[in-house]
Amino acid sequence: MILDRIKTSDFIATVGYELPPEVMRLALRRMREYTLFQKEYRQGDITSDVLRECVQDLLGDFRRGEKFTFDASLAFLCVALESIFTPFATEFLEDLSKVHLVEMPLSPGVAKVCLEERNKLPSNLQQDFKIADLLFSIGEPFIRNEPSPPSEAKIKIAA
Amino acid sequence: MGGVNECINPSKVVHRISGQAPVGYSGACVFEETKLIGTTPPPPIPLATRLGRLIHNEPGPAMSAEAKKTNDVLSRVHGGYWECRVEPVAGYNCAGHVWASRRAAIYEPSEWKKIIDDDGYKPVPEKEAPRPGDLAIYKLPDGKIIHIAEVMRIEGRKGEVRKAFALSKWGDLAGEYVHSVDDVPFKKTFPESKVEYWTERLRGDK
Repeated sequence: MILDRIKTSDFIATVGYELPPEVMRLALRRMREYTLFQKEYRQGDITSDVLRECVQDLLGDFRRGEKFTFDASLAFLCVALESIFTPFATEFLEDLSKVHLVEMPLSPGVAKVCLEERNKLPSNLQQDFKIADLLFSIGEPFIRNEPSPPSEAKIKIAA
Repeated sequence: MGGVNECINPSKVVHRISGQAPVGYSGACVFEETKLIGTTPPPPIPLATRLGRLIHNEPGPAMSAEAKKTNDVLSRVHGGYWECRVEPVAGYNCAGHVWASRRAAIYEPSEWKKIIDDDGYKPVPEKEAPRPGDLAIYKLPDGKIIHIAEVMRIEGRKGEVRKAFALSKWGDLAGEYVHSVDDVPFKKTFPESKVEYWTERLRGDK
């Protein structure tokens, strides 16, 4: 999984020396890992919950005063999420762009650049729906907790 | 909590009022705890261009064991022909090495442009070789600056193809290395990058 890879020192070394934010964005987009992220995201292996957990995991390594080990990993996530318009992706980019700490000189700047680029793109609204459980009996499907199965099967979607 | 590190998200305000949150809303800034633990940068050291415009700068993070390990790996991978002047050291980046006497990091390319303009830097004429003290500025075709280094020496005789060597600090926790101007760690990522030589020698008296 790509989200496991970005937590490794090998990934940090692959990113290499730090570059100015706009150039770093381009460098990260050219990495093999960027393509892998997009693939895993499209396959549904990377969800908002998984991303949130990954970010919290990375931030667990934060130490006051010291260079944050996963500054480059957060920068990578900025670039990976730039064209993904979910509430978490927006929240992540906006919140990170407002961070200004000695320990993280790289990723907030990359977040700002990604937000600027993102705002240039046409955005599609994405809505998440919660689908109620669908059970099947012999003959006809019915929805759990419905009083009686309808004669014509209908699937309800609960928002 | 106030100041530059406060997360202000209008959508959170709206949803607190309406009582509803969008799906996926966390209820807290993702970096809330990090901001509480981390260090807000101190005021910049007094640094200005030749025309008196202040140059924003920061001290940069302190060295960590992990950062030192990463730098050791990177210098082994990329620096086969580099000459080390200084082992990995904190406190300044490439621009800080060149323009702040190694006292601070100057992170923003907009500040670099300010210095180049105000200090009267001009491109070294194409027919001339750069001289020690000139700058080697690495750029992408669209003009974005990748890195800034200081020319240290030129090897080769006059009339022959001469090779320039520059002194670079690759990042705010890297060491300083003398290298051929073609021997740079971002060459594979940006094969289209080019080096330009700029100098303040030609600014004339003002």
